[in-house]
Amino acid sequence: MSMRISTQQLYNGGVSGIQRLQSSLYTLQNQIDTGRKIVTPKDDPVGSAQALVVSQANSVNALYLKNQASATTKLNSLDSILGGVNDQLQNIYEKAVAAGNGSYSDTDRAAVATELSERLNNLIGLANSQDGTGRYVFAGFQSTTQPFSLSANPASTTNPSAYSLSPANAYVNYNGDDGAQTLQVSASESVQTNLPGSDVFMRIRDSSGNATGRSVFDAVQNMVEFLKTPGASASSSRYTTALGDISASIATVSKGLSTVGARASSLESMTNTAGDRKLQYEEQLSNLQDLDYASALTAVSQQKLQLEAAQSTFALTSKLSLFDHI
Amino acid sequence: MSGLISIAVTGINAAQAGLLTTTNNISNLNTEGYTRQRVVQASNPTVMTGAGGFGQGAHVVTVERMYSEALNRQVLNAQAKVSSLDTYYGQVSQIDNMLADEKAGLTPAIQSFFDGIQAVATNPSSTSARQSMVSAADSMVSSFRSMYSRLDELESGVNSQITSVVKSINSYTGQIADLNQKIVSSSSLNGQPVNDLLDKRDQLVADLNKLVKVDTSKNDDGSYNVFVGTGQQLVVGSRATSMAAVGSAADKSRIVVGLVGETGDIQELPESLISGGELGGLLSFRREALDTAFNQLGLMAASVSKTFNAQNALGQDLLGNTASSSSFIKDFFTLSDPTAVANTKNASTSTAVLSVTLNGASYNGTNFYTKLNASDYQLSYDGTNYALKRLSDNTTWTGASPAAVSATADQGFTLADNGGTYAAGDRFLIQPTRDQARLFSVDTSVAADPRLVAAATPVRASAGVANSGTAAVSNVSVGPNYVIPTPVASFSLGLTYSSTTTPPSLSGFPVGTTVTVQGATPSSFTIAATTDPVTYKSGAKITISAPVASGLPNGISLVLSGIPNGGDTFTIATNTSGVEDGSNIVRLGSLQTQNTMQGGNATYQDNYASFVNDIGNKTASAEVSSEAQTTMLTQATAAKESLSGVNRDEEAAKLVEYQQAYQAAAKVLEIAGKLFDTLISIA
Repeated sequence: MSMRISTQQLYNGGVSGIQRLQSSLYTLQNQIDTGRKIVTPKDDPVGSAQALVVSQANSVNALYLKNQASATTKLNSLDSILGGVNDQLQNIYEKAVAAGNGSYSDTDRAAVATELSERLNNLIGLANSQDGTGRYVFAGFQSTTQPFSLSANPASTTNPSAYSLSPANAYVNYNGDDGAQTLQVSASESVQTNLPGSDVFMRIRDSSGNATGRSVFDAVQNMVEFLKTPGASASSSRYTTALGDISASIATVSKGLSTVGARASSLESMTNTAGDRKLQYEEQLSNLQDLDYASALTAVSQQKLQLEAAQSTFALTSKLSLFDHI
Repeated sequence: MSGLISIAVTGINAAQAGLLTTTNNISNLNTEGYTRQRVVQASNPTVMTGAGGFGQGAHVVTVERMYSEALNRQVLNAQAKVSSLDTYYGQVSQIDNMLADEKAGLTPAIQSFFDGIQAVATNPSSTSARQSMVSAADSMVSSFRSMYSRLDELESGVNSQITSVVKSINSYTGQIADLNQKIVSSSSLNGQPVNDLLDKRDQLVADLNKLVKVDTSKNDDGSYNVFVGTGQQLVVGSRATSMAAVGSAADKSRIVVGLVGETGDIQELPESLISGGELGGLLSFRREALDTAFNQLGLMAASVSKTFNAQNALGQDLLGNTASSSSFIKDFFTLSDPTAVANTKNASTSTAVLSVTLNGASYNGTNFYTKLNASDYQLSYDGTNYALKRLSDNTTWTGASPAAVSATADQGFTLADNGGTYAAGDRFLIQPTRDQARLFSVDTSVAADPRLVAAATPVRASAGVANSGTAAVSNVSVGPNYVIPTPVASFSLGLTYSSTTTPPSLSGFPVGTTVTVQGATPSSFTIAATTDPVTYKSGAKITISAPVASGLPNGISLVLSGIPNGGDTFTIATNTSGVEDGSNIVRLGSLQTQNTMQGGNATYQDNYASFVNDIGNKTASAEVSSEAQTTMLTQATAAKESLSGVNRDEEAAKLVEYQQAYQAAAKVLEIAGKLFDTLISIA
């Protein structure tokens, strides 16, 4: 049996059908406008929670990338300063080796001593390098304190113990500390972006890693003092010790250089990984949030068709009336 | 002859009644609540003669309303649900929309705060980096606040809607009571139903039912009783009971619904009793979604600030201040403690003053975390014991004092008795997190001078310059309640390595401290003399601790790795001028990815994501249920309309039918006239 329909129902039913179709068209239009299938969390509660977690992972990864870039910049500048230190030391070493030649007169050696003294000042200058904002690079945590200063009572030829400068009796004092400046560069790793001056200049080790107990500056100053001594002989232990110390200084600085290099190269591979991860996160986010335009547009044309059909049906049925015929 | 005429007249009368009723139906085609009427017609009693029984025409018995109570009830039930769900959806979708806003949401605000932290980590001594971090913290606070104020707007909207809905409910129940009286008196007048009044009353019940789900029962005299909830009377016959929107006894700022008693006293109705309709939707939205949103937002704010403050307190600012200095700012974020609200029904003898304090963050050895959760609590006193009930799941703890019960519950806050006496039956509402998003802010001193951000660690360690071994120090840190012996500025502790002890060891630790060396099984050393050896283990964390009151070094840790030579020294000292030390700010930055919430089980973002998921689910399920219920309503309405609705075409047909009946009866009169004429002409 067919159901009895009231006239009001005929109108209401038609109108609510049209409204329902219009509302779902509106939803589609919103999605197309924003390009997202999740316009508000209700559209996909699980997906939107996931998207939040992924987008944070993506932001944190972006932070790591930024930190990696900052660390690389810092390490690069450290690398160039250490390169300069290395050049000076190589030069000093060559001059010192040449000065060991028996044919050198006292005057010749004194001349070399003057040059080495000059280069020693350059070295101290490099050790007191400041970055673009005026912070001392080799001071550990105390970047506003000049890390290297001449000792108040430097050993000299007038000082009998001059030829064995040591931490207790140093030519240059270290006022910094061992502070390691670090940056978080991945979820599990942080990288040290500095080298404390104590490691680079104060604790020199020979090529087999044994501590000499003297600083880079002591080594050069000992050589200067030796060369200034009239009638100095290349076969004296003062000369061989000082030369050995300079060579150890080179080894120590080289070690610093290779540490910096190793950090920089591990940063490079981290940056590659983080870059890949960024793409992955973005793809994940896109899968979670982005609208598939093709299917959205198909849905629009389907619903348009339905809406038009509903409208014309309503127009037709609402016009029919028995009163027109009696 | 006269019989013929009088019978024809009954036919004319009946047809006329039919025409009138049809016309009335057509006229009320668009009247809301109108029920189709029809004439019930019956034949008149037969007159018996010797030639048999002759019918005496027809009469109208009554004008019937095509109405079914069962069908009407179905519509009412479905309508109450639809109204409730639509109201709920309309409200919750506003929170849903608020969370959808990617740019105004919390995620970008929290993220830019942590970006600022990393900028300080990159350049700890740079005041401009610090300035931008503090600004980012400020805008994060504003984001929290603006979300809070949007929730606050929703809440006051709900409160005022409850008030106006209650007003409309009272107007409807009053009208229903009036109609009850009119219906009873008019139908007793002539024994016939007063159809339009019945329609009007049904329509009023339907309108009322859109506001709150009601049940009706019909009395013998034709009046309705109207009930709400589990049988609370709103209308009994001609008497209506008023509803009132009042502040709850538990929390005066919360508008709840009550019934006004005969003496004018207001009986609060438990929210669970009121379901369905706009009122039911509003109350369940407030209870399920809005309260949670407030608490979740506050929980985020409280957790971010508590954990951040706890780590910040373990640092040293750019000026060299540490926890022991009066100029040091431990709390980067300032918070206000929540207040305990006394129930207005508490005994008049009760003078108790209860205070609530949010606990500082707890420490699990790796990071700080909070134990707070997004629930409200109720403290009650039975005359002997105090019971603390977590209202989200009714978990209850008991204890001998408010402080004891909060310690047992361990919910991230502490209750304290601030004087006064409790009376048995006293209750207090405690909302640890609800307002925290509004209450927290960046400390004004730090905001004015970002150098006060504690980016460094208060101590540093160095290997002796003359060391011949390769051991290096790293990861110097301090833990909660750390102590640097006074005078702090000159604290320096020298350790010496010895290779001649078995196993090789460090010595020089202060007498009275305990030194722990981390490992699969941590080993602990009690220092009785500075020469006491502590086993050296490369890469293991060494922690020096002592009772806080002793003033000895406490909570100071470092890691030594590498191979020292005998006589090598290591120094732990105050981090004087350590401006480039960003180790504490790095730890602050790590909070973003550490499990800082829910007792150390979730990150900030995990917690936020599950909140967004929860609101999304609630909105989606309200939408789906509303669609389903609307379908039910459509079906129920169709069934009702099928019986009660007016169909124009049907009425047109009826019109023709009654017209023809009328014409036929009139024709009889004409014939009777002709018969009479015939008789006259014969005579």
